[in-house]
Amino acid sequence: MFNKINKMLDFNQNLLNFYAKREEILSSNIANADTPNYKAIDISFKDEIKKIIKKNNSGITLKKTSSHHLNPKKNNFFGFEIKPIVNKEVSSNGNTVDMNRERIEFIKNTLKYEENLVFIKNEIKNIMNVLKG
Amino acid sequence: MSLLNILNIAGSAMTAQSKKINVIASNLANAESIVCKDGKFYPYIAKKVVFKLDSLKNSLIGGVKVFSIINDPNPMKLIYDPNNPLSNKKGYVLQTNVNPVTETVNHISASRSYQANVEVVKTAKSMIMKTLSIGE
Repeated sequence: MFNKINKMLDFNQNLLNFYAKREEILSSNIANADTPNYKAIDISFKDEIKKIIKKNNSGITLKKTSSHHLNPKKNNFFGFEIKPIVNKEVSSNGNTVDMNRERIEFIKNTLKYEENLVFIKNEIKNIMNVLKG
Repeated sequence: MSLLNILNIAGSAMTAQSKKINVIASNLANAESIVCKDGKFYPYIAKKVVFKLDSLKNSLIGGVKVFSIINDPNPMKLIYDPNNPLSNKKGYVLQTNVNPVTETVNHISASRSYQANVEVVKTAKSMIMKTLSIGE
């Protein structure tokens, strides 16, 4: 039973992690808007979501020959692939931060993070309702 | 936790930008100053702040730090003023290279960057507060 609750929340938890990391990267871009030779970076939602789904489906389990064997630990770490943003405009000091894009992406990312939080809250509410009867 | 890192990143940027504003204020205030060095008098040379990425360990991202404060390489103005006691034999006086227009524009740009980082801090804080209230 707890396994199922875990599975329910696991995907959302991974997404939340992704949004938090992306928020950090975007804030770094905004902070370094005036730094010479700083290259704007980002992580791709499309690639990372593929990784998350793949990880959730690949149920690699060990064969248990005794009821006392423990379940294998799930490796919860996945590194994000950080890529530079390719845009044609490079300012004279070699900085590639486009403040307009960064601001919009920052707000978008915040809203998505909060949306995900609401999903998790609702799931917990559902579980609590079932438990209370 | 990466949300707490955001506060450090934006905070370092705020420190760097306010330092830049400090230097600009000093430039404008000292535009008419004369510096005495080795018994000779020189006009004040404008200072410039150079930023550098202050990367967090094991990552490409990070905050900002002030790398160095350099002398503005722009040339000094030479003005003909034979009555000035600092003029040379031909009557020319070396004047400071502080450009009030450039300084004002840089000041506006730095204060806008500061404001952007304040917004980032606000957003990160509200995100953390909302995350903490997840089980309620």
